[in-house]
Amino acid sequence: MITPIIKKAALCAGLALLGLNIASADTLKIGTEGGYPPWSMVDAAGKVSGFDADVGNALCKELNADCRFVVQAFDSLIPSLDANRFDLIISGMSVTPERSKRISFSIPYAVEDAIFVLPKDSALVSAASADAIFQGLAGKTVGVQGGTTHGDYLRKSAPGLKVKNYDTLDQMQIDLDAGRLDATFADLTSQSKFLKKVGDKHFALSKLVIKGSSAPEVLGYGIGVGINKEKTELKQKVDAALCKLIDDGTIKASSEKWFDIDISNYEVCKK
Amino acid sequence: MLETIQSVLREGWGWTLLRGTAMTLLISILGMALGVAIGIAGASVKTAGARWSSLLVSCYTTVVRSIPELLIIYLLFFGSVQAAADLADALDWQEAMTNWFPALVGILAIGLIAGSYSVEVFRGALKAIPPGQIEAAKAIGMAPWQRLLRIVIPQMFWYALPGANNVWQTALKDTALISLVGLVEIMRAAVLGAAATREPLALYLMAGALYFVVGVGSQGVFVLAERHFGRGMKGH
Repeated sequence: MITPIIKKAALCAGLALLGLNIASADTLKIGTEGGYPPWSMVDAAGKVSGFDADVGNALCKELNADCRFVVQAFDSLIPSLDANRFDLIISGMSVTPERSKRISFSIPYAVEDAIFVLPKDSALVSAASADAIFQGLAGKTVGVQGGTTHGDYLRKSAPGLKVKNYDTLDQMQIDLDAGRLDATFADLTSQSKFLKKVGDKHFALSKLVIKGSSAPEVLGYGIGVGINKEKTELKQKVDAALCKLIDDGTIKASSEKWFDIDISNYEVCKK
Repeated sequence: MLETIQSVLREGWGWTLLRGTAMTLLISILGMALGVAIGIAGASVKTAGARWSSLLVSCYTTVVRSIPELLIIYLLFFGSVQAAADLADALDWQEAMTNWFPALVGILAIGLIAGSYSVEVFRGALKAIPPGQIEAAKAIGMAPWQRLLRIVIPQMFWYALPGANNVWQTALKDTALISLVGLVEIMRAAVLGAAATREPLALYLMAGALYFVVGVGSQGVFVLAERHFGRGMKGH
């Protein structure tokens, strides 16, 4: 099992020395998850839509490049970017110190707050501080999507909670609906989508919103475009283009289209 | 539920699932073909090869069979993604590599897994051929290639069929694990559809039905194969 990989790697490394790294000139390949509405989803025809797709298409237009989306599981995005399977990751990915060790990020063009979904009759819905919610949920089970910053945040700031990881938001929300979870913790945008779908009969959003800026080292500095560490020139171009898209309201428009709220990060370009 | 399925079908997910089925079939058939090739080669080495080479085959079957299939796929994908990219750069095949890399990893992974089980299946089949038949063939002056073509191969397939059938069914279902690499087979199509339509139960029911149809259909093929290779095999 291991030997063929090593052999292959050795062979390929040898072959690679003979060739040059030729970056594709005017097509930008963009890795995205495709299963995370309304950020990134794929329709039946395979067309990518959602906030990520809008940002990607606007970015490519600004950079005079053709966009091609590569849809892959979230966990496989960073290793694939490392290996140049695509040029950029646009997949609602939060900029975190952990991820920044492996890849570089554009400016955080959007900032997203996180929020709890709780049973409607819970007193915690109107809790005024994060600590009040954490104490109220002590010993109870809270669902998060695995591999996201939300789970890390809860494990760090609220060790009394039982945090349950889910592969997809769907699975997590089905468990909440079925009473197997006491609460869920995720992006404000996906949580409000869920409430829209199931109605507000049994569940409610917590009044308290956890701002990313309250714990940026865990919750991340906002949503950024992932770029291979070696491509510094591309990063500069992407940063400049993103600032332009924030200034001219393109990001605002598509954010309001998909989330009903504006999540553009206006501060980042003013520095 | 029926209404939900109908509305999901109206959005075009039926076609996506069918295309996913084609991909599942492509990966599992090519993977199984690779697996059978590995199986026959490995079994031959184990029955007739040198000691060190049969030890090598045993290592491969032991290692691959004791690691979960999902882990093999992860190791192959994460282990080869860099190597494949380097190779593509060297040969200037980036475009083809982007398009075909997921399928290649899928076929290779399924092939390696199916191969590790097939080695034992075919070794058992080779051992089941009565040695007396080979001696008789030698006695009437058949050349080694004649013994292989007329005595060994036809009977090997007959004896291997029930075991190979099991390996095939496993290979078919293992393809559900390769959705990680970005291949839209039945399972991945269902996951994407579940996310887009927010109707996971409907999509997963449809996916289950498709796996069932493919599974039952391939059973029919094995029945036909058993009839074909079993002709002239009295007493079986």
